[in-house]
Amino acid sequence: MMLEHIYTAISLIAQPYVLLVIAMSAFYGLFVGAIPGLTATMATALLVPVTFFMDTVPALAAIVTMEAMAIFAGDIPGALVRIPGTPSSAAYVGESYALTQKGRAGFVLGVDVTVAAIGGLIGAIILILLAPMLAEVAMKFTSFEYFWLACIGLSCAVLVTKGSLIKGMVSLLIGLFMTTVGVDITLGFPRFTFGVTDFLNGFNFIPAMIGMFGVSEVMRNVSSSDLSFKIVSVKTKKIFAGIGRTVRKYKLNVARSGIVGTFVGILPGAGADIAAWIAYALSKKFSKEPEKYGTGHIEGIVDAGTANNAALGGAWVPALVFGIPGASLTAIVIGVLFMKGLRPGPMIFQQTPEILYAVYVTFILANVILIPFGVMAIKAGNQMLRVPRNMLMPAILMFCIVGSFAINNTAFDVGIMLGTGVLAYFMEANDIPVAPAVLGLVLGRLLEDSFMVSMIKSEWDLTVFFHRPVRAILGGVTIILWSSPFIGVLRARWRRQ
Amino acid sequence: MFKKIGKKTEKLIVLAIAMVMVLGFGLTSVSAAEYPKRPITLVCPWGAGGGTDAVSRILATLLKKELGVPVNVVNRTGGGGAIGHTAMATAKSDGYTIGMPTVEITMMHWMGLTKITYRDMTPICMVNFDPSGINVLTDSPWKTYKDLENYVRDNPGKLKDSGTGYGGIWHLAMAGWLKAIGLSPKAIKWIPSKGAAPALQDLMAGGIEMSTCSLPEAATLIEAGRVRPLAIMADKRDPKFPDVPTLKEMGINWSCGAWRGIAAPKGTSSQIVAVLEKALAKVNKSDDFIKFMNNRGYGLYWLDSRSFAKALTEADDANGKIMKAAGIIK
Amino acid sequence: MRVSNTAIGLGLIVFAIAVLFYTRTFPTLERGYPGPSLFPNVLAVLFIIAGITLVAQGVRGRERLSKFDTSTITRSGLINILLVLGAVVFYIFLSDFLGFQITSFILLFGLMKWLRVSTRWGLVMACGMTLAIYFLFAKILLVPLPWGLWGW
Repeated sequence: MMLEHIYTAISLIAQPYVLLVIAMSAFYGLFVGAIPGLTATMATALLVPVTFFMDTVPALAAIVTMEAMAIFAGDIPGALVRIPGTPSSAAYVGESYALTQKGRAGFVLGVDVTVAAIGGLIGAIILILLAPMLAEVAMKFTSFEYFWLACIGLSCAVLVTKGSLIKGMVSLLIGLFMTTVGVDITLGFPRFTFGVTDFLNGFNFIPAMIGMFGVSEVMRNVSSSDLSFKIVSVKTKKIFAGIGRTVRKYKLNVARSGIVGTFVGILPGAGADIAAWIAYALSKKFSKEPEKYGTGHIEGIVDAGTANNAALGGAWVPALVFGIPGASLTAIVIGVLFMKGLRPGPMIFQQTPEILYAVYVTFILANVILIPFGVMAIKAGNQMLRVPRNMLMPAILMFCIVGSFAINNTAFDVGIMLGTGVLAYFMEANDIPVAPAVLGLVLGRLLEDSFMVSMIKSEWDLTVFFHRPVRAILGGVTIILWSSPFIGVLRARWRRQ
Repeated sequence: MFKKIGKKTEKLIVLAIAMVMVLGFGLTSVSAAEYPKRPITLVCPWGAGGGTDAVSRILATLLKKELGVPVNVVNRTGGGGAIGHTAMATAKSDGYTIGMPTVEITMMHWMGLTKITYRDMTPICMVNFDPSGINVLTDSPWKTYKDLENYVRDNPGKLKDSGTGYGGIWHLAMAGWLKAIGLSPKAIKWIPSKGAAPALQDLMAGGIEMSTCSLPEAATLIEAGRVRPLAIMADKRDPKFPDVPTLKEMGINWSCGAWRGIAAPKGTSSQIVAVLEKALAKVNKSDDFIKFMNNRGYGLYWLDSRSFAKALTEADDANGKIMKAAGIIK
Repeated sequence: MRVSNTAIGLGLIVFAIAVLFYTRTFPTLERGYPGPSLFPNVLAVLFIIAGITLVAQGVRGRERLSKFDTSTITRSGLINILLVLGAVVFYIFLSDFLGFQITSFILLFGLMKWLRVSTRWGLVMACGMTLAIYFLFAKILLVPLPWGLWGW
């Protein structure tokens, strides 16, 4: 029965037209992912009118392929010029760039593409085998559970901070505070907008991210005395050496992050970006050499790079099983299915299994071809490092401007980019790390909204946060995570005495 | 890489680029004779991936065929729709920027989010209307609408309802319904959420007991047998859900729903409005559009420029009154 | 550009106090429960705690409050930074009037020239980049880049 479906699915995919669509969307995805400000969601939305006149299988195959490529491609500008191409690469952009400065750009990206493909496959396999069961679990998450999830995410801040803990906290607070600008959840009240309509949207995440990583990096680069030289010297031979060994060495990390990433992806409201942060933090927590993190250590990149691609498969679980979009991209997928007269939900598993299996087959195919396509993109990207900085920096600045503009088509966001860029430059010049602030930007709204909504539901009864088993467990984990550094400090002090 | 290229090649590249630029810009120079001459921008006040985005994109594609110029959808999101609506109202009224206003245009200014109202726009047509449903879980004790109403009467303040943010259309739908059956608009607690999808997920997880969102938004869960629609707040039944009664037929005088339309900035000339109205009327009757709307489950609805303007005036006034009565605004 | 920990701490405290005052104008939920103001206020209190810690560290380390160290950055470096920022401001305010192509060309060529790229290469790169970005974003991805004098 199942074999028959797989056979039908393969015959649906293995058509010249479908394969051509997959190849085209692979290029499209790599391009969109590599340019900061262009998101896979936006690219897919552009495809909607096209898919309307397309068959279901190529339409879905296009989306699946593009997504996988885009999330990986976000690592390319992240490693090369310290600007994450998509929010999902933000967690480990500092780490990747540190390795690039050691002249190992090819190695970082080679590892990235390999683990991205493996992560994608793990996500796909979990999706194929366990979708209906996992969807039931994800559907049990209410605002209370999401609040704990956000808290667990916040505890990553400690792990991604280098140097002074207090300055890391300041950075996190800055990021969280930025998310309070705009319309509030409880009363729809415009906060800190000072009557400016554009501020109702708050600090749009993508321009802020481009500013904090991109603009501040351009500022740092042009401030150095000699601009005519290149960022790093690129070795043309053997840029991909040592990748297989690295991946084998960290195979347990890959497995762990693949699973963690998929599960985070399944939860509606969390996605590839949060998956990457959590995987990176877990990586450091369980690593034998946590002191190397932040100085250009590949282990954290292996974890986060696996997790964000694994999250993609996860995001399809609630979408396919219940028609509930976990992210804006799967919302488009549901729309496309509707347009084709298909209803996502339990029915799709019975009525049109061949479509479902076609999605599965594409997931696997997309992650397999990710490697050759990715390597091509890396080779093209590496050329960028050969350009002298005095030409490269203005060009990057222009891409930052257009990327910030493109996300919501407003010059206001270019202003957000500028403001956050100056802020990040000032912060880094004073040893305040930027990564926690970005984490705060990612999680702030989830944290506040889930807390406020929970309080409105329970009429300010805090004990409800522990009422059900899942909640109580998540709450317990949070409390342990949060108190462990203090316990550590106390223990150290006690020992000294 | 840079040294390898000789001086001659260098000059050629400069020349070639210069020529392309001159040609490229020369050909696209603007000359306004007959509308439309150049691409039209369609502002969508909601994000990529949502229903309004999908409708605006399909409309743009079909409108392009009618008008013969590209129609580009531009998402301007944020502030519960305020940013996008402001963008379409404050654009140049030359007919090259139009927008897809949604029901929020008659509500946001009451909330104090913006000063922009429907009066800052030239209505062209309304293309879609989806009434609010009253949805509960299938395994809940409420089998019929009456069950639920009786429960609310006996236990005011006990149930929790969600579907959108505070002061959003589904909040208003709930408040107006409760008012129409003679209850306090606070007899059901409103839980704000980011939209219908998260609200339905919360419903499934047991965080809330009901959701007043539209049936197309809940369609997958209804068909999966998880969610039961008890009634819709419309004048007549939805042909796709013929078993779901309307409040009207149960003697409750309350209809409410979300709509989408097309509008241009205020002061757009009547000739331009006429061109767009005609083209959109054709699109609205096209097989492609009907098929799209039916497949997505969205209600087809057509109001021309004049009746749309009238409907807007009435809705704006009525919404303000209900929001005041419900205590949503002071 | 380094400033003292004490100064950063004091800055945070002043900012947080301003937030605490400003949020008093925010509406509250029913029965007086905090609504929109709760989260900003909690953050403001945490800002104050962090600020006090930083000031304490600064005082303990005998830091000069007025420490304003610009030695890490050269004069020409500072001018370069200001020019980069100026370029973005230039784009924000003039792109609508001039249009994308002209603004982008002036911005790229101007910056490259200032950073001592040869005129010829500056022209090639500025034209090439402008065209490439323009076609990719405006033509393929349908991003409505500013129209301006020249149209698109």
